[in-house]
Amino acid sequence: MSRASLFTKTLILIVVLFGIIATATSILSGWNLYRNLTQEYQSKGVAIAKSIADSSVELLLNADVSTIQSVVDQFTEIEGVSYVIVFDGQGEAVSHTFVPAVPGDVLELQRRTQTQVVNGAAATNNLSIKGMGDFLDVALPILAGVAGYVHVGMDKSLIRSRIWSAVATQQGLMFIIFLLSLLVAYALVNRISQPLKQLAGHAGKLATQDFSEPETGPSDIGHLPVSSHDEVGELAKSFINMEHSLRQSVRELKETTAVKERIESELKIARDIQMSMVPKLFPPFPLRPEFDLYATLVPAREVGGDFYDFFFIDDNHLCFAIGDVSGKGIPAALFMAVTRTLFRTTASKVSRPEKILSLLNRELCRDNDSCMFVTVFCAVLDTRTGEVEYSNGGHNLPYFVSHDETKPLKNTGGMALGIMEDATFRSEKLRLRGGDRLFLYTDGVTEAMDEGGNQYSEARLEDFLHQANGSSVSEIIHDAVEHVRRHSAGTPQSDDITVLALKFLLRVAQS
Amino acid sequence: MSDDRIRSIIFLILLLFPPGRLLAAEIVVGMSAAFTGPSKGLGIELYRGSTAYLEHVNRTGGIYGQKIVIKAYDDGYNPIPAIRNTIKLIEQDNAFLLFNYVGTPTVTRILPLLKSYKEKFVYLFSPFTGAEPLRQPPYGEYVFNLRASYSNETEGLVDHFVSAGKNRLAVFYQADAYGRSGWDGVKKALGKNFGLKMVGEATYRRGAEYSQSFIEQVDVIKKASADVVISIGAYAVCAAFIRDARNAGLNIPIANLSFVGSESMADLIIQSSRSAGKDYTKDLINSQVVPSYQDTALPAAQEYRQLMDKYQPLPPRDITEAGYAPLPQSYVGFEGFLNAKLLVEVLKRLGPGPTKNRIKGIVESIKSADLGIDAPVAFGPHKHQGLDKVYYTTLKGDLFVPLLEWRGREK
Repeated sequence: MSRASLFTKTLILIVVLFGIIATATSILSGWNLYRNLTQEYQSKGVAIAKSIADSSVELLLNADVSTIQSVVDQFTEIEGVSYVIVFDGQGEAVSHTFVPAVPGDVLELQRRTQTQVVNGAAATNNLSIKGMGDFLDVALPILAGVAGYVHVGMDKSLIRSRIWSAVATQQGLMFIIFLLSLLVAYALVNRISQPLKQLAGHAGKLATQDFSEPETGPSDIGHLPVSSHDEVGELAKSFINMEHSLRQSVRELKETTAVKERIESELKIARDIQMSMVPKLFPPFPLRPEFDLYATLVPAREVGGDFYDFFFIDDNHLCFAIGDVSGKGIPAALFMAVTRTLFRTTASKVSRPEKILSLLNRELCRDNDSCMFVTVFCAVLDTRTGEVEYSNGGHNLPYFVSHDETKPLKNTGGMALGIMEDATFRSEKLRLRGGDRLFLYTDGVTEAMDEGGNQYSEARLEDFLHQANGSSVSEIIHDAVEHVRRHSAGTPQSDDITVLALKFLLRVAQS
Repeated sequence: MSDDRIRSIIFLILLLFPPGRLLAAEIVVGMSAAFTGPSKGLGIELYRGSTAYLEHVNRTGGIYGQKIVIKAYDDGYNPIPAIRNTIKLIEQDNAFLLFNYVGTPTVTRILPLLKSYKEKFVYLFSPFTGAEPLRQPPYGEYVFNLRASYSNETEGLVDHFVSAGKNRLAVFYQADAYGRSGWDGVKKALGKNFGLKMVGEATYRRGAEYSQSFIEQVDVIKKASADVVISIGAYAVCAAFIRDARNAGLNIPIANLSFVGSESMADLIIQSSRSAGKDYTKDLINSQVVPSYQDTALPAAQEYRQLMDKYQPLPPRDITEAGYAPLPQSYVGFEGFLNAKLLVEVLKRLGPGPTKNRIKGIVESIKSADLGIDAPVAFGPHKHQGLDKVYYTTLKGDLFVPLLEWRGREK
């Protein structure tokens, strides 16, 4: 909304309103004036006619027309009186003021008047005389018409000219008022639009303003709430408040961002530390041909609560595990660090998986004020025979993949660690043949969701593993992670994805 | 009281009551007439005619030692100034009587003043109008007319025209009391004496000038197929009407009343004739209320011409417009001369130390006064018009001469 259009609209409105008012008042006052003047003229005419009639009675009877003429002449000096004519009892014009002659219209009117005026009252007629104009003819009988009649003609053009001059005066006044109003309106619109313009300009500058910088001085619309005690002032106040809030929140955002950046950098360090806690060197045991092992951990945030681990307990037994701490982020990472450290310590003390879990559980339950827990699958492989003893603490059951089948391991029924101190864990055994594989994963794999909210699911994982039969473990791991990522493309990763694959290669060992 | 103060008081007394006034060395008569405007010739010539005789009287010892002075004011032939002038003359100038007023519309309007100043015995002498209200109740008793009335004039004209076989009379008249007076005279003369009606009438507005056109009025008369027009107007308009009538081919006789001032009218007509190359002077009849001043058989006419030559009186100073050429002699001037003779006669009869309350009785007692013309002047309690005789003249050359043959003018 520009000032010009505001002004134009106001101007048009004023002009239209004034036009209506001026026309209406002109018509009204013109009509009023016409009515009043006509009445006034009529009564004036009647008064004059009466006066002439009264003074002419004797003169008419004495036939002293010269004196009647003298009387009549006096009345023509009165404003508005155009003519006076006196008829005698025989209806003959004996005195009049017409030049050059009495118009036929007047004589005709007199003939009509004789029948019209009966009871001594005045008769008023509108008379239009060719070449002379329009008149208000007041006729009055003298001595009830016996002595004669008198006609007084009041000039209507005078009424008209008075009306026009009154209307002109009124219009002049209206025009002056109109001009004054226009000036006032102009000033008013300017007063309103100037602050609006300033506001608009200010708002325009806001877009390019750097709110992170502190204010460089008083606001250029700071005077508006003080100078305009109206909606514009309110608007300006809101603007200033908004600007303040904006500046404030930008400052806070900046601080928050700084904090977040700091945390993120710390998280990055934490991740590095966390990642350094899980083995990352592959192949981990290049000198052991009996098996092949590969694992990876993709944390959902900077640090995750998943972990995996593997190490030799003695020359022939490889312990390997996968775990998932409840929750995510720093607390989960710290709990994972604790769990992994305790896991290693525990595994150095006992070698049976269920014992490891049992001991680990007891350690974790101690001083676990934060009530965190961790699911752990732990297994020990006898590299000589391919026998695997495993125990599960509430974790997703790993898959056994052979050349002809893909199936989850049999559950050992243990619950997650860190919940109940005296929880019991059982173990199961299975024997791997050459080429058989175990695929360990966390729920970050199966619960990864696509944009439609569909989980990756065990079924998909099973299909994938079945089709990936024959690939090396590193390929399987990479392909599995890639497969999951493709499934959840476009959605942020919601949980840590951790996978570990082990392939038994006894034939190599036998040979 | 110091000498200075006494001296200044005496000075003041002398200023307020000059010795001349205390001794009444002058008899002041008041005159209100047209000295400006289209009818100024009437007021001026009337004044000059009177002045010629009064000058002669004043130079030959006055009236019982008192000089007669005319105090004149201009009213321009308009009623309102005439009323104002009259009040001024009575209240301020303390005029002994009113004298030589000019015009019907003016004089008819001041008549009520005379009645209201009844206690002061204010009389109007020899007004230059023949209107009836001056000769009739209720105001006739305050006026002493010398001249015959308009009805005398119109009746005479009508009688002569009808007798000469002209039955279709029309009237051209001024739309006021004067015109109406003449119109009424013609109407009554036609009706009463012959049972006729005028065939047409046309009016004009008082104050009209010679330069204006009166063709509208000429058309009205023409349409009425009149064979005579009687004009009741002022000389400028009557001359203009004659000009326009003749230009429009209306060649019927046109008669004018004494009020036109025949010489003033003749001047205009002759001028017009010369400039237009046409003869406008034919078939013009003017009625007069005084005999011809060229008639040397009349002692008054001889005296008039002699005194006019001798004193060559001027128009009143201060109130007259510049550029008026006074006439050597005229019917109006001769009337003014006779008016002055009547005035002197009345003052003489009033005796030394005249008083206003005796005026009426003295004048009404005049049964036969000789002013040096062919008719004696007589007044009476019911007769306030000294002369009745009407003289008919026609324009011959540049002079109005007595009309002898009415039929002979016929064309």
